[in-house]
Amino acid sequence: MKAVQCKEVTKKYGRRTALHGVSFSMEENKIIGLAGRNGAGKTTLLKILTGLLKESDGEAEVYGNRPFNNLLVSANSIYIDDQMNFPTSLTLKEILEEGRRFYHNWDHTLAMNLFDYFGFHPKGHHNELSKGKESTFNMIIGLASRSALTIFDEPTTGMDAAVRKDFYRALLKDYLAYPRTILLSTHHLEEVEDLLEEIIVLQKGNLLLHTSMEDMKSYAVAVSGRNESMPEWMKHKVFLYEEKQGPYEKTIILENDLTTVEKEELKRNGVQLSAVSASDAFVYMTGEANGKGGLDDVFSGHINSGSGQKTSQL
Amino acid sequence: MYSADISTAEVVKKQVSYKWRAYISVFTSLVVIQLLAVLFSLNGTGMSSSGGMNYNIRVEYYNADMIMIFTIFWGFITALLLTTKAYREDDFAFVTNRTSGTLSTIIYLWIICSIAGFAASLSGYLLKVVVFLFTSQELLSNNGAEGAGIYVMGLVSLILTIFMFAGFGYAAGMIVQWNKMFVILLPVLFIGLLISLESAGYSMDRFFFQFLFSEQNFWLFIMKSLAVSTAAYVIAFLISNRLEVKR
Repeated sequence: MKAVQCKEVTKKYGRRTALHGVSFSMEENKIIGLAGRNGAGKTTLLKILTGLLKESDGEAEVYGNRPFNNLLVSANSIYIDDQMNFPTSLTLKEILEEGRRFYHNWDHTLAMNLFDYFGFHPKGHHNELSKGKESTFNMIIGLASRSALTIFDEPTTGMDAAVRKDFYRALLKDYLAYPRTILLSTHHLEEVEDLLEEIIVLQKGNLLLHTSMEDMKSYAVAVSGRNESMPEWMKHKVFLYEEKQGPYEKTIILENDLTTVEKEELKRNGVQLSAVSASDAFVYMTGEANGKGGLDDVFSGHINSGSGQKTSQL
Repeated sequence: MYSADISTAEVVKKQVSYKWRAYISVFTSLVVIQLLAVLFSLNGTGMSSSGGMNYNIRVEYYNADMIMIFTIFWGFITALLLTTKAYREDDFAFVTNRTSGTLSTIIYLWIICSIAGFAASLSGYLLKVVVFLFTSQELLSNNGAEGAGIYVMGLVSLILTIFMFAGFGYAAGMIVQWNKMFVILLPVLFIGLLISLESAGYSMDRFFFQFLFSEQNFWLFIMKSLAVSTAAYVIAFLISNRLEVKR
């Protein structure tokens, strides 16, 4: 059985479309990353999968059930983000007790051990926690619930570096001991590169890529050298990013589909080939290649127009 | 890992006990409101005095009407509050769907309305004790209606009335959550309808109060109030099934 299956899932908020027909499927018992720039539709997709939102069109399925308003999906999945709401009258320890009552796989020993390890006060209240502490507490609930589908939506918001590291270790250890499907959306792809097995990349509500982490690591290649040493056939490749280094040299990031012959030719021409890490590939993939130019262009345009105004005033 | 063995009844049971623990503060407001009502009732609801040459008789009437009305109001407001986003998101912190969430809230409301009704019926005695202890008046009648049967009937009707108004609050709250425009629209419609019906010769008195509260037959009252409550809760239930959480 597929853990998650999406067919042409579309979500509209009024006139704005957050997801444009996203289709993919996920096997059971894997750690999968969900990457995308701010506003790419990550949270919307995750909330649809846990039944908090209803898809406007298409079909999302979790373990063969439509998630919206479904008790089975709710009992077998958990959605952790930094805006979780718990009753203010319950203490932190009581919230964990409630979790134990509701989730059939709940591991209370793990919950209490993590609770002590991260130095929470049993009589503390959720709304009095700092940002990082809140995220840490939510993470404990996510881990201890041992839900068949565990979803973390940017779980490390506000956590300091040490806690983030602890979190990834805890996640991996618990996952290895009790395999389940874990979906993780994060902005720190470089931190979780080694944790993930697959990655899904969203851009502007579209599915850009769904591939294994191995493939992602060799997805892109950086080619740098003198302009005239770039062969003619390079024009037909997919450029992810291009940067000029002075008038004569440039670096091009392109999809890694070079054949051995092509690589040989590049090397003969004195062009350097270097690997691009998964997180850099992600940035290039979803970054400036949108045809609007980079941030530098924004500022250069602004400054030019600014100086233009000055001269006209004079 | 994956378990298909989840029953709605089981989840509803867990949710009711979760809500009991999580929303314990509703009882604080109940106590405060009933004490306030007792305080206001100490003024008495009526007074008559007569006198002659060498004597003067002054009769003050005390009853627990104010306490009942305040408790009914409390039921309305509490149910309304339970539909707000913060409370609904508390539901979704753990296992739930809209059906189980709404069902458990209705059961929870029934429980707290029963407790509130019971407390209200007892606070009538508190009122008498306070009057007895802190005023120099002579108590003429300790108990209005005689007998356990009458007391139980009064208690049941009170609980049903609180539960019905809680239903109104719950339905109104859900309608507002569905579309925020109803915050204004709902009172306008309600009061507008009242006034226009009044001017057309149909008073609310005939439509509502006479239909329900002037009912002499106890069993008929139970049926009528349950029917009205059911209508309110069904409306709330249907709307809650359409609501998304966490926009």
